[in-house]
Amino acid sequence: MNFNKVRIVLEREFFIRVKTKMFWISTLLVPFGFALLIGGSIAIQLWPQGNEEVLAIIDETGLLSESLMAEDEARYLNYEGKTLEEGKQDVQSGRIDGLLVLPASILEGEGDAELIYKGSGGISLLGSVRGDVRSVVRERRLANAEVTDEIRELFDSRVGFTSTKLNEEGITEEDNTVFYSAIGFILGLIIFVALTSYGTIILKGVVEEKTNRIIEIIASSIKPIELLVGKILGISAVAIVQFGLWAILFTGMSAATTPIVAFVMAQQDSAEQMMSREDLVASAANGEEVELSQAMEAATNPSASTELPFQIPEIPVSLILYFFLFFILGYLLYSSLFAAIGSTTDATSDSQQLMMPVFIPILMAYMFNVQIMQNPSTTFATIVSMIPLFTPINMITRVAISEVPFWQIGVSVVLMIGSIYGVLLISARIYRIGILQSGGKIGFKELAKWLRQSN
Amino acid sequence: MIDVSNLWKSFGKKDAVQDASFKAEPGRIFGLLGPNGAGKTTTIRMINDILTPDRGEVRIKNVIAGPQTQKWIGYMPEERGLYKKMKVGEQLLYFAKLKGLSTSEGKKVILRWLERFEASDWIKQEVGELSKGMSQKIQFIATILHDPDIAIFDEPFSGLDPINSELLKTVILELKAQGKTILFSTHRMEQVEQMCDDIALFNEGQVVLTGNLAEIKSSFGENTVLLEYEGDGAFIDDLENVRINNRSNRFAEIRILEGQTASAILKQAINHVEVKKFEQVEPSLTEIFISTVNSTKGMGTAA
Repeated sequence: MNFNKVRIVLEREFFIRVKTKMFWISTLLVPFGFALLIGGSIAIQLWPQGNEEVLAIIDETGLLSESLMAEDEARYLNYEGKTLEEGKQDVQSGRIDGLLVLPASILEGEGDAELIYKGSGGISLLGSVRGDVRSVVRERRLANAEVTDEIRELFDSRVGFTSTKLNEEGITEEDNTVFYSAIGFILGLIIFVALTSYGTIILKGVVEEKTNRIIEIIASSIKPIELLVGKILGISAVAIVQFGLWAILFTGMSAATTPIVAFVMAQQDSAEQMMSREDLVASAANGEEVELSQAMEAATNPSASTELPFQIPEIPVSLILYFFLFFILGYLLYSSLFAAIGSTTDATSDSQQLMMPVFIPILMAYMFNVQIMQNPSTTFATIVSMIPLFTPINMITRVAISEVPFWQIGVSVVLMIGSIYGVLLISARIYRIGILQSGGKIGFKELAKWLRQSN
Repeated sequence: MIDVSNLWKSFGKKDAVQDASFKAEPGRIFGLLGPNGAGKTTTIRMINDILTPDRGEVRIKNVIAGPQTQKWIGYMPEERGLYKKMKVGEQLLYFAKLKGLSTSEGKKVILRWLERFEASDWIKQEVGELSKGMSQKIQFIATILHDPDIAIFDEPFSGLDPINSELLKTVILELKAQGKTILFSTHRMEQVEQMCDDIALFNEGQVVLTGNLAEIKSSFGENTVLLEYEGDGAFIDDLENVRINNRSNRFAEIRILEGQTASAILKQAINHVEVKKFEQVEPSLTEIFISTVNSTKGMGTAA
């Protein structure tokens, strides 16, 4: 291989893309889009959670409706004196959003409270009504049993639970599993998106050279392998520049937005304190997400942690290095596959069928990640993350979440380098024949023939 | 100089080129002639080291075809193309660098050629914005800007407008005058007859005839009659032992086969039509191709 020629191709592939307006627009827009996404999801979480649905109560016990109405005056309405049928008609006609029927036996722990509604309001409505009913009924049952205030206090007091990680030096450290799980998943996601998008760029570039009939002129000047390697490296240089710019932009942006985030979160903190315990229970699932997105936003700037109401774990430098390592290895592996596929077709649309086998492992790795994020140390996770096609996405997630033994990382890197070499050799064989082929679809049978054929 | 000896290339079961041998000399124009699918492009690709022969070898200036010989060759493929999104100047510089020129050398020759083709204004334009004729000119420049000793054109005149056809002819003749080796292929033989010094006739992957064109022609002798006439030319259909090439309603090119003579044809003609012109000449390339293909197939007469 003539590396001078590789360099000439590399430079063209790099500058032709970096010089376009689209490159700069997309490079600048992506972080803003991402910030918007995070800001948006925080805003949605902060949006007043109160449901606007009006529910009428038919209270057969005669004891509960008042306490329920005290829980949420805007929601609950007493239908004392009305029959079940009348109530149902009102639900049908839309005068009320739902009918809450509390049977007399509920205080003895037998009957079920029933919500009759048209289905609007969703899980969050059901959750908050269930919480309200539960607390009111429980309150009444305790009163009926004439429980003393001390016991009641004991009952109400929260049960604390924290987890602590014991590291190799035997020093305990705070467990931030939830935070790192999110980071791990996001890093895997970024690699997933990057592999597919830069892979597609390679594929389009190869197809362009074929459809423009330019390939034969190039092939009369350099070897296909030189063109292939130059292309892959040129576009990887584009990727590195793009990621570098994003890193700078994110750092700058988070530095600028931290005061705002801190302010918003302080506000939310006091708002949360005002919420009743039941509301918190009801929104427990959502609440966890709120904390995650806050953590993510704040994590980009550790200095913000002093201003924030909770501790922000730091992202270790080694994780960032591993991210780049697995990203680059994954890119090299997949881009040569994409290039080989591109060489077999004349039009991007034709390549869809052949692209499937390459997209499938990327997608599989992404789906495995949902599992691995929760159980990063299982045998399944270990094996999957060491299979080269899955390593870039699955290993980075494991590394982020758990202590992956160094030998596993080492083996996966060696396996990846080996398969990059192998795939590059195979791809180069397909590529050098494919680029000269014109017209007609090429199936897998034909490809297998090319592998055996000399140029 | 291009020396092709005993070249074989097959794709799967199809033998695209079988035992092809010929030599193209400096200062001369060599034509690879033959119908589509005869193996011309495959041969040219092997000369350019785009394909590797199964057997036999290609030598360029006595060096076996490889990365080194690629630098000596300027190649314009039949399927021509350029990067649409790239500017003319950048694109030409890219090709120049791939052929081993330095950036400064490349820039110099590009400016010179653009000026020569009155295309200097296009240097900052993207190729996609150019007309077809304009991008054809850029294609010529891309082929020869590194001043190759050998220039190869695959079906150079297909798709060219008349102005660019003339321009390309001029360029080719200039290259010849400079002592370069020129090789081109075409399936339209009559179009290039006057340009070629030497030829190789390809048919079904084989070189059926190769050598100096003038010698080949004279070896066939003046066995062809050109007849121009006025009147009803139906008698021509009744002539025996002839092959009619290139016929219109006032003109016929008649190849005399065994058992027929020129004077007998002239007598017939005088009896039926008013003869405007009657000339006995060497056969055309088309005729040479047909008779060679037929004789190699062992079929005496046909058509």
